[in-house]
This record gives sequence, C-alpha cells and structure tokens, in this order.
Amino acid sequence: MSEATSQSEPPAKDLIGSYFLDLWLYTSKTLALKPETELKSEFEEEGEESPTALDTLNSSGGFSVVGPDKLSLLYPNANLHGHDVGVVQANRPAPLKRLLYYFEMYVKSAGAKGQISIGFTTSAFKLRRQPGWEANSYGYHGDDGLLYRGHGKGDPFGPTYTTGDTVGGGINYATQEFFFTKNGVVVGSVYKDVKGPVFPTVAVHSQNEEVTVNFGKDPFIFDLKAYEAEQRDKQQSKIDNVHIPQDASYGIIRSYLQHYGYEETLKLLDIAGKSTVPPVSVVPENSLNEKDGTYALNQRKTLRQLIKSGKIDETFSTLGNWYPQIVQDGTSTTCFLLHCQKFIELVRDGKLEEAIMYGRSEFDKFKKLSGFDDLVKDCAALLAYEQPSKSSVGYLLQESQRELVADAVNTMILSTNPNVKDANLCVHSCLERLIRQVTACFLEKRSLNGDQGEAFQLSRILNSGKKG
Amino acid sequence: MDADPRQYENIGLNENDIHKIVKSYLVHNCFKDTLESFIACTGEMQPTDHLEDMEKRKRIYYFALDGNASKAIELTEEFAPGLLEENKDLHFDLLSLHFVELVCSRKIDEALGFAQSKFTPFGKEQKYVEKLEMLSMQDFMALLAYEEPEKSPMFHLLSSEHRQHVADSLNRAILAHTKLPSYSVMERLIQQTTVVRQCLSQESGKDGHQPFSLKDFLKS
Repeated sequence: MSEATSQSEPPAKDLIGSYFLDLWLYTSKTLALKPETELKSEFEEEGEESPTALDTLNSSGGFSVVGPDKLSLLYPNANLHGHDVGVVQANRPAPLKRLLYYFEMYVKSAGAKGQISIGFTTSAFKLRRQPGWEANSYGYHGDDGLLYRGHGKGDPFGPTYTTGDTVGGGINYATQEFFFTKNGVVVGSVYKDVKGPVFPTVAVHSQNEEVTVNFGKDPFIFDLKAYEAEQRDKQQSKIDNVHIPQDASYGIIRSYLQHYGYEETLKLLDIAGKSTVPPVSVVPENSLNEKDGTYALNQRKTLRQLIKSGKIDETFSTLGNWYPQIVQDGTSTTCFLLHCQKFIELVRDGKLEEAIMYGRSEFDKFKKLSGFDDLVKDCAALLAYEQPSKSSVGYLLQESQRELVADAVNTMILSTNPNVKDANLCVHSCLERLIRQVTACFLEKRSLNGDQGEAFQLSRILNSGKKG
Repeated sequence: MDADPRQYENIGLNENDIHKIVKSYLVHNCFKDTLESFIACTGEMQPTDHLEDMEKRKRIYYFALDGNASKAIELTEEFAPGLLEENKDLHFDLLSLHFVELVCSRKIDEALGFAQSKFTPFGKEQKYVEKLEMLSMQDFMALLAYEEPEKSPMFHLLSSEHRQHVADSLNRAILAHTKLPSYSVMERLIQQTTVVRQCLSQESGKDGHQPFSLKDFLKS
C-alpha cells in the first residue's frame, strides 16, 4: 500500500483532494446533527447568548425587589434621595452580532411618582442611580420623557409614560444608535457613544412602582420585524447607487459556467451576449485567460453528466482513457470519492448485496488511510437503515453528494492544465471567490467595529423580495 | 472541525445558492434560452410562467434601448399598468427619448404637439421644469445644426449610454412591479463587495487595503 499522502509533502493535486474531503467531512458533521435540514449556507450567529431575565446577583443594594420569575421589579419603600434607585440589569449584555437588539418593559404601576426608566448601562454602572445619570449609561425616563446620557440633566426626547404603558429599548448596530419606543411606536433615537457590551437596564424609584420586563419570551408590542425590514431597506438603498461596471456580471457568470463545464449553457450565453446592445465584450479581459477557462470544456461537461446520472463505472473508464494520471493511483482522493459514489448508487438502486461486495473489495485500502475512515463509516451506515434517506447519513443519497464528486473530478481535470500554476485557483470559480471575499471583508469590517453588527449573509440577498 | 467564522471562507458554499445566483442573472437579463439550458443541466425545476414574462420584458427593454420609446411605453402600459404613473422620473425620461426621436427625424409639428400634450402635467413640479427647459425646440434645432454636436448639453440625450440607462431603469421598474428583485443577486454582490472594500480602505487609511478594483480582483 502506498504511503498515506498526509505524511509527506503533499503535491498540489492532493491539496485539491483534501479540500473536497474536508468539505464532505464538514457536511457530514453538520448534517449528522440535523438530518432533515439542508446544509445551511449562511453562517449563523450561534454562540452568542441573549439576555433572558433580570440579574439577581448584582442587585442594587436591596432598594428594589426582583420577582421570583426574574422578570418583574418592585420598589416597596419610599425613596429618600438620588442614590437609592432600584435599578436592575439583565443577566447578560445585549448580543452584538446582529443588526438590532430590543427588549420591552411594561409599567404595571407608576406608584407614587412614576420615576421609572428604561435604558442601557455598562458593567461598571453604579447600581443605585438611574440609567443615564452616570457616564456610559443611557436612560429614557418615564416621569419627564427626557433622555439622560451621562449627566444629571436630560435632553427632550419623547413623551412621558406611566401605568399601563409599554416602553422598549433597542440598539441599532448599523447606525450605532439606541432607539426607544412607547406603546409600539418609535419615540426617538440617540447616538450610542459607549464602547463594549451594554446591559439592558430598568429602574424604579418611588414607592410601589412596579414593572415587568420582556426579553423576547413573549411577543413584543412593537413590530420589531417590520422595523428591522425598514432598517435593512435603508441600508440597502445606500448601495443602490453603487456603480456596477459594465459586463462585470456577465464575465463572472461566464467564468462560472466555464469552470464547471456547462458547455451548452455557455454557448447560449455567448449568443445572447452578442445580441445585446451594445454587444457584451466577449473578450474576457476580466476573467481567466480564455484558453484556461475553456480547457477541456467538453470533456469536463461529459464527465459531470456521467456522475450526475450515477454512471460511475463509465466515469472510471472515461477518466482512464482521457486522464489516466488522475485515476492511476488507486488510493487517491478522486478514486476514493468515485468508489464511494459507486457504493452509494448501488444502495440507491436497492442492490444491497452488490453494494456490500463492492464495499468489501474497494473500501479496505482506504480504511487505514487517515481522513477516509469516518467517511467510509458514513457510507457503510447506509446499509444499516431501512430508509437510509431519512437517516443521519441520508445526505449521501442527495444530489449534493453527486455534485461534490463531480466538482472534485472537474477540479482535478482543470489542474492538469499545464498553464495553471496555482492549483487552488481550480477549486473555485470567480463567483465563489467573490462571495468568499465579501464574506471575509464583512467579518473584518465588523471586527474593526468592535465585533458589532451582522456578518454577510448570502441568503438575505437571495430571499429578499422585490426591493432586493 | 468547528464552525469557526474564518473557516467558513474555506468551506463549501451551498450549490443551490450558487445556482440561484446564476439564474437570477439570467432572469434579470432575459436570457431565456440560456436559462432553460442551465436548468436542464443542473436538473432543477423552474416554474414556466416566468419565461413568458421574460419575453415580454425583453421586448420592452430592446425597444427602449433602440430609442423606440413610444413602443416601449405602449408595451409597458399593456404589461404593467400603472407602472409609469408610479415612476415619474422614468416616465419623463421615456417621453423625452420619444421627443428627441421625433425632432431628429425632423417631425417638428408632431414633436411640438407631443411636447404640449405629454409634458404639461410634469410642468407643475420644479425638478421637471428644469429638465423641460433643456428640451427647448430652439436648442434642439441648433443641436442638429451644430458642427460639433457633442458640445451641446443635450447631446447626451442622443447617446447610447443614456438609452442604456433608461432601458435599465425601465427593466428594474418592471421587475419591481412584478414582484421580482430589481437588482440581480450578482449586481448586489458586486455592489456589496465594492462598498465594504471601500469602507475597509477608508478605515485603515494608507496602510492596509488598496482601493478596490473589481477588474483586478477578477483577474487575480
């Protein structure tokens, strides 16, 4: 058996191979957890927890009482001065990696003086003062309707609020503002001049004041979804006027079709391009050298069609004729992918005995090579289920697996082009590199912004409606 | 392998999403045959009602591009009633194109009559008043007599870039009217990339990112 390729300096082709193996492994791990869902293409902002309740550990010296559900607050005694505010923060700071954050407070009773407030404070806040009375804190106060942001004197901001009102406090990371609502209507917004995490905060200060807080467990009075859509549209219209270079789209789409061997589609696109006015410049000054793009186009198309129709034996023999160098090492990743796919196709056709025999003869040499055995196990697992397509390894029976193998073969062939110096270029087309670029740039921009705001999500553009 | 955000760049993009991007481009540009071929090659389903609409939109687009504004207007009113009323700027641009066409074919009386009946409703708004002043008959006659017509400010109204711009606007308006995205996903990607790269190069000043050039990126 040849040496495991991971032990020596891997030649360029194995870099390609290991890319596709990694891709398969990633799919396997993600889908194994939720077999019904498709592989999500967007990066979900998981791992960032939201506030769920009021914090009872850092209490404000006992001036106020947090209810047992940790979502209500009462000021039982009479207040005496400005340093006995019953102020409570949420149990966690507001999450950062999104467009908006929002929470609401319902005034159950305004008590003696209605000195209630809602706002945001940092972890350093003195928990005996109204939010907004100290630096790095913001508070919208119910008794005077003013916005306090770090001084004793507030600014005119909105209406007062009292018993029966619901007020909300939110953060807009795109505009770097706090915004507040009363009974479902935006009251105003103010620039967020504080760095770092902030805690949703509520406060009561006169006798018998009582409020309840909603961190999202119940529906909000305010239509947050509509507001979010509105804000997105605003952001969107900023980029509406960005100039799109003539023919850039055409060039990128064209290079995608070339890359993946969609020969017929490419021909039709070229015809369509010539008939536009002015004709699209087919000379691709903005894509790979024309020859490289169309390298082995017809053959790549043929092989893709074979794999997509499950004809793996024919794929092997065709490759053996046209590109023996790709399949001559029986333990190469390409061979592995093709053998697995053959196995999968046999299972799909219900030829289980044949599949077992095939597996026995072909999988053995891969079992001992690192990186392969998890995937071999996945394939073998198909045999264990009566309805394999509904199992955690059901993803193997989907079109996406055939695409993976077709893409791998496609890339391998592209890499045989003597003009190609960097094999990595063969893996992705220009379009995918563009998407990766914009994703990476957004992440970088976000980290420059204190990690606040959203990442780039392709799905948002794909799913947007007429204004998209 | 963890779902580290950096790793995301290297891990596969959803094939379906990429296909959607390609299809969105083809639909936007009314490349019907190409779209059908792509759908056949990727083995995906596509509702067929889109395709008829695409043919109609394509015809409208090409009429506008050719400068045949009256035909474009007629077909738009047929296909998307109310659209022109909702998009006054666009309507104005189309009418101007038709006016220009009439003057250039020396149909002066017709042009004057057209201007009087069609442009009067626009005269009530300031922004159109200024534009209308540009369309003065005298200036136009002078334009036709100019030895160097490109020196006239109205010259751009005759240019193919202007017609391209109007045709594009019309295409986007029709797409929006029929509840489709007015910018293809591809265009959005290019715009987003440009904006975020500009942002980054501004933030990091001289050291760090160079100003973004899509051309260079595509060549790389």
